[in-house]
Amino acid sequence: MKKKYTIALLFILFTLPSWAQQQRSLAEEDFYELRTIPIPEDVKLEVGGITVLPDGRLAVCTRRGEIWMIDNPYMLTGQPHYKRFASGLHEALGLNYRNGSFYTTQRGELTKITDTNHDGRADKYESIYKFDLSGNYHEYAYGPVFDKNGDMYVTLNVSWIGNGEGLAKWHGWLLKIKEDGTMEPIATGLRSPAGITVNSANDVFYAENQGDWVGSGRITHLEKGDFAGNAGGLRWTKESESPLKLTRKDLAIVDNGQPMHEAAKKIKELKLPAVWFPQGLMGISTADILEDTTRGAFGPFAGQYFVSDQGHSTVMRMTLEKVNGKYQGACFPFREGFASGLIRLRWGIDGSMFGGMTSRGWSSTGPELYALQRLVWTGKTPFEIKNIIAKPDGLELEFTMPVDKKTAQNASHYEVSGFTYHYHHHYGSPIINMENSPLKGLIVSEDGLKVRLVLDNIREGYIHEVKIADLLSADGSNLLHPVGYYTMNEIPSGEKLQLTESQKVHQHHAMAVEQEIAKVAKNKPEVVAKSTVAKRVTKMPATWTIPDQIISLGTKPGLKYSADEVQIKAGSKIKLVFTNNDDMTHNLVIVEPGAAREIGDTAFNMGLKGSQLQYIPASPKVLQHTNLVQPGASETIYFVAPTKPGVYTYLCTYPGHAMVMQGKMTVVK
Amino acid sequence: MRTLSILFLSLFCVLCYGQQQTYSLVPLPLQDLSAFVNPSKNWEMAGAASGNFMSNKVKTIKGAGILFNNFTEEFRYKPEANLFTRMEHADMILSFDFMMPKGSNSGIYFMGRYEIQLFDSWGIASPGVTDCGSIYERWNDALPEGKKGYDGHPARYNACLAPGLWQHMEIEFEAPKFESTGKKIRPARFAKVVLNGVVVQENVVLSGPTRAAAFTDEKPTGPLMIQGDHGPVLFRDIKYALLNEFKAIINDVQYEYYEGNFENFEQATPDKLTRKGNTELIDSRLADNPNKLCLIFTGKITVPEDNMYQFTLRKHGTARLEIDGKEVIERNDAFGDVAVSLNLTGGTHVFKLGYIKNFSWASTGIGLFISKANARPIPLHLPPSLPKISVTPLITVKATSEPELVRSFANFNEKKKTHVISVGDARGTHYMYNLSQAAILKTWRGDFLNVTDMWHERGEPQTATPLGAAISQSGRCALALVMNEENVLPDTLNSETDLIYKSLALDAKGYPTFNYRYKSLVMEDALKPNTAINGLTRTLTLKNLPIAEMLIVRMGEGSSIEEVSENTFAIDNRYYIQYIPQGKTKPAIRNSGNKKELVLEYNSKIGSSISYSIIW
Repeated sequence: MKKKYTIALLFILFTLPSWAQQQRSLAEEDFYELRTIPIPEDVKLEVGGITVLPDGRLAVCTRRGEIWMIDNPYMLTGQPHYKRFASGLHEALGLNYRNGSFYTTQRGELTKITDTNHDGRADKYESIYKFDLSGNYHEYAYGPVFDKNGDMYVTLNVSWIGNGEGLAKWHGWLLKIKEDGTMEPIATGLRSPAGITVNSANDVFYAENQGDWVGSGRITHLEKGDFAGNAGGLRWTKESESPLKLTRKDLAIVDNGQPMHEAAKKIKELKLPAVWFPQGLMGISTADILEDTTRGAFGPFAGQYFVSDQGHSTVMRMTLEKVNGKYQGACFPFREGFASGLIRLRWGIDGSMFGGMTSRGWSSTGPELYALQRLVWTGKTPFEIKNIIAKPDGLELEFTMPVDKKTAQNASHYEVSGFTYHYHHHYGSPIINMENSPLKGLIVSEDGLKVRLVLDNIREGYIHEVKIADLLSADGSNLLHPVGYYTMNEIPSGEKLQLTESQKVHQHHAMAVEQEIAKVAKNKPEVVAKSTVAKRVTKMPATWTIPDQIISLGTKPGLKYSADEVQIKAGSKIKLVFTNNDDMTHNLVIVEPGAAREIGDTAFNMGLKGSQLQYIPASPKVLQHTNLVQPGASETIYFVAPTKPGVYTYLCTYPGHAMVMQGKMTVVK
Repeated sequence: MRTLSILFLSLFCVLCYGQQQTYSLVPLPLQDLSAFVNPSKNWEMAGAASGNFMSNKVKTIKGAGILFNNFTEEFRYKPEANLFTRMEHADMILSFDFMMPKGSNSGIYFMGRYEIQLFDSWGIASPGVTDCGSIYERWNDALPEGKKGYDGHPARYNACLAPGLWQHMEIEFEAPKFESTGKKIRPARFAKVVLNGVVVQENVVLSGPTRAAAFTDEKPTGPLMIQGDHGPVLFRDIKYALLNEFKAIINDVQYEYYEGNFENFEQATPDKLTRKGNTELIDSRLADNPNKLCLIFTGKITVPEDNMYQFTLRKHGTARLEIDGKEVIERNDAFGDVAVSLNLTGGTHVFKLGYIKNFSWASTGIGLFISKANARPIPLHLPPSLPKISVTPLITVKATSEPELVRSFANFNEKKKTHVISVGDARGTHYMYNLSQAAILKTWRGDFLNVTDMWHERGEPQTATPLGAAISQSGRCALALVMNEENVLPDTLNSETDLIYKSLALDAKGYPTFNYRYKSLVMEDALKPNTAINGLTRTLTLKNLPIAEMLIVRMGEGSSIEEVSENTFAIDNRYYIQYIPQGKTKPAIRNSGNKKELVLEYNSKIGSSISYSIIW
């Protein structure tokens, strides 16, 4: 009954006259509202797994080995009610419910848990399959998820001994386990496979975290005999049940930092990810995967996937398509601001999304140690890049609502570039082989929902970043997230478009854009900046008459700047006055997009020399900076804003401050 | 997440920094009573002893090695029945085993003045000042009733075992300190009292001698006094260390700092020298680059007399130590302490310490300590030269209204067991069980479980530890299928092919039963607290016995097993097994290699279940 009311309410919201004459640009929370489900003070709900019961209850298993049954989690009336259903599990990191029993993985076992006497408390814990363990803390077990036959899939983490190693049997593997306990090893090369899902096509996907052999977070479709990349599990390919015979020695020949898709040409078992989630740009620890089976109850993304990031406390969006029979696709930012490390996503019975969280041991952007929240679609459709589809000669962008054709037809609003990562036994990877994919042609569909980009230099195996600036929807909305990353494992075959003259992006047009940029940036910083431009100019340059913009930034206690965000115009002349009102020393360093962490870490590691150098790393990613400013003092710097629009960061590089003391400097055209 | 591994490693090194001070303890000779001053005749030597948890008497065998207070009523409250060591002490470490029959009472008076109470406190829920491990009260008869006793300090927990079992105590004591004028400048202190592995006192300051002390004044030294006028008590394996004052003078310390990615000291050539100068002591912070450094420290150290001295090196990276021009330590593993003992003459010696670090995934740290036997070590470095040690908060699980279950890893006989469950009971009787072997690992009473190493941060050890005084059991499966009775019983069963853990079921009160298949045998293992005997009762229910094989139930094993009363067996005087007979069956004590086993050969007369209790 309650459910019907909410649906009815949503309909009312839908049909209300649009109040879209926005006074401000809409943000994520206007479309997806985050609601917190309060946790009783004496419950340490360090979420490992969640499952939704058909009667409206929610069950949550925790790292402390309990299963909590939560009544009224939608809080249609009053508070949720928590009751401990089970306990005594060893770091349970997955939960499922089927035919009246719960299924969970603990470190040592896949366990079936049943309340046989129906008193609301578990009384029978059956060991379906025992996991071998070496005693390493990193031997986590995840799952199970059920496939269409009712068979279970679980994944086992490798041990961490300075590198990932499958010390105990089948660690680093995806296993298929039947209810009767028979086990079939399916695939290996898994490092930290916290998220697994079986999609509606009965295909298994898992989410991976950056680490050794893993340049960045990613999601991979696993089939029998696949090797997903990390060497730790290869120790067990010698077992007779193993569906592949690949050894560490075989892998050594490709351990030279070449891109993974190059290595995959030599190692036939090596499975390329369906979608890369670029490290730092999208997230830092890909966690759970949730297919949108809500048929629209959660908004316009039915059939797509939502992927959580534990470290960034975000939900990202993923789209998949099959090219030459293999999955590939794109990822997009979706919703940030979760309260803790977002490890689990599940659909509620009303099509809202539950998020289960823990950050113990791995700190997250969301500051809580654990949390439970629910993401609810408000009924408004965000203006988003709905999908990116590979084409033989480029990419097709699909939008959630018709685009404004005038802005959509402006070629300068699109920027596509490709990059990838090293494949090697080292931890992580920088971005490598970055190259632009120049736009040759542009076609906006009749209905305004699609934009076809005909591109040069589309490279197989590469991640293609699509960045869109200043695109409006037909009703005047800004793109909520103007970026997506398409993993182009294969370029689809097929006919390339014959562009008409009007569809071609002409060289002179591109030239004009460049000239335009050059005009804005009168002193051509892009030429000078690379070599000689000073990064700290404390007197106004003689060539300036007045600055275009004056920014005043202070500090607040608790490692904060007085403003979290400033906006400046590309190429404009900026005077920045930095006043330190805090009781600690701070500086202000403006860095390239995405470089805050690297610069913060580098500064942190400068040692004694650091303070002499004002904790300013010698890096081209440092654009401008003040010196260390003592409490109560101030410093003024002058600089020309970057010509490239984007979200830059200003941060304090005084050791220990950089992680939290940051702000965004948005450079707009 | 690159930072993750860094975090992990820095945690790891914190673990290495636990206090590693070791003292060399010497035995107090117990071949005879010559270590004591004029012992009265209640004190005897014995060669072996045993007791029974139900009895106020102990059985002894003539011999040496055990000090026995053969107390009789004639000695009650007679001060001359107390025993004084010839040895006098100031700061000291004392370690000993003791055994008490039911209801007995004794105590150890440090310097003849400050008493740690020994008492049969078995079964007491909340210890008071008269219970075992407590610091007894001081006493003033002039004060009104109820206020005569004061400044007592109850043990934190009741860590006492059953009467007739050997118990263990370790005490670190600090004597009061006086100026030459005799004025007291620092009071006496019990730095630590550990009863059966449980810390029951820590850093308790003493305002003066406790009740029934041999002396009312306080002095810099004094003998140990063992109370003999209250009840029977036995001691063995008394060991102690008298702690020394130790001073070493460090001066003329100089450093050279080389910057670069060095693999060894030879690569730190003069052209790489960045800076040199004087420094107060060794200090890692003299390096500009914490990850590409070579620091060379030289200096002088003056020791007071010819003696054996120990140098302990603690580092993150490669380090090399030379004393008087001779290399004594070179280590290039990333972490850990390295110690070397050297005979040095009294006077001044030259040290040279080299330190290289060429990685960024752990913090910088170099430290060097000098110590001599039973003296607290002196650092040759400034404290910030090593990373800070943080004290982690305690995380525990309590069993309140119903049994509490926790699965974990656990250390047992220096090995990590990975499929372990601990079961806590609200009334305070707990056990730890290896699911892979259907084996009891430990039993204890008191508070339930310390899970700090599981739930603090990432919980790298992932081990749970008992909060009470835990008794280790054999850790082996109680059942063994063998072809004939001559077969040696297996140490471990194959948990994938032979002994299969199937499930656990909770009964109406929440107590678990563990269900197994052992070959064809179907076995249920149920353990329940038994308040009548202050222990645990185990019931093994068996179905589907294999026809061709013989089933042996192994209840206990040890180097000595003695039947102390009908069907009650003392295992190494560490715990009791009490068999609950079915008909006329009775377990047998038999030899197996150099140990003994308490076994019962299963036959159909026994019925489908076997029960026995563990008492400690």
